[in-house]
Amino acid sequence: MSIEGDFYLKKKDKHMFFSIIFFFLSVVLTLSLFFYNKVLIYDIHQINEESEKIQKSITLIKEDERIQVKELLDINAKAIPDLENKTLVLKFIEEIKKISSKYDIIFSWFNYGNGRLSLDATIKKSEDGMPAYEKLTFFIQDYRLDEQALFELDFISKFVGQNRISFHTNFLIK
Amino acid sequence: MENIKNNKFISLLFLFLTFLTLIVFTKDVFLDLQENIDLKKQLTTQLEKSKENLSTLNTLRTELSKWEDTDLEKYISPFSEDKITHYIHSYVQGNPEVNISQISITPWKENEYGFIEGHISLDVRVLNENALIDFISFLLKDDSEYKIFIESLSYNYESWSFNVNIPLTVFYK
Repeated sequence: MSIEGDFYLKKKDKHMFFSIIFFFLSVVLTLSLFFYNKVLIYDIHQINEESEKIQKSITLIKEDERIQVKELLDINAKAIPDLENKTLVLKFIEEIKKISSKYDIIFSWFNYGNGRLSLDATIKKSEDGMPAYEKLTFFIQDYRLDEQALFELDFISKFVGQNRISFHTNFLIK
Repeated sequence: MENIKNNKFISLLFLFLTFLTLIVFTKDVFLDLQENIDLKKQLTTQLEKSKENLSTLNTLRTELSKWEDTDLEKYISPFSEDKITHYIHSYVQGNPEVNISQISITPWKENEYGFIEGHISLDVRVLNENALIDFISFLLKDDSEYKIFIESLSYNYESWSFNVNIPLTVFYK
């Protein structure tokens, strides 16, 4: 063979060599990825099994009613105490008694609902001569300024009488 | 010359096979692998959360087993007509200041807080306001048998011995 023929033959040998190498590498790569994938599938299966066991344990624990209640109380940690505050009827009755005693007001028809307390009220002229209207204005001004008060005194729009003043009052829970 | 042609043919063949392997097999395996890597990551995160949840519940179970929480016990008290009636009458029995006219119990439903909510409407006649306050105190006391809320109340102050309707809301599980 001539020198040129030898040169081309060696070049083609090299090409063939590299093409075989590439093919071999592609097969190795594919097999590697394939086996790694199998390992991952096995891991996923293991994780799923463990998750199932844990879920069964969780379900078993949650069958305990006390746990269920405690969870709900934790979820509603603010909402239920807020509801309790709005339903402290005894405290509201006590506050009305205090108001009645302090300002010499006679209340009737205690009516509480939806955060609002409605009462019919009457203020009479005192035995010592203090007019009813002075006792009334003192009550309105003083109670509205009282920071310790349990309620907010709503606007009173109608007063009936002179020596004996009747009015309807609404208190809003603070 | 023939050798050169043969080698060329073999090179092209192997290149073709390489290309075929990559397109037909390697690509699919690679895509599956990506999916499974993501899935494993996701499941691992979920598993960690589940473990945390289980640990919290176990701690809670241990704490609850150590002491009796009377407030908690109220929520698991059985809500049945006979028990409720017995509970209410146990207070008024022999008590001249309070007389039960009627007890109405409304069927239960789940409320926004996740508890089951029952309604009891009590029509009572009380001797005076103090008798009413004492009765309500019994219903709402700390060691009461039920978790009771009184969301509304209406009665006439002026009367001596009056009728009053007391609507009770009961939370239970």
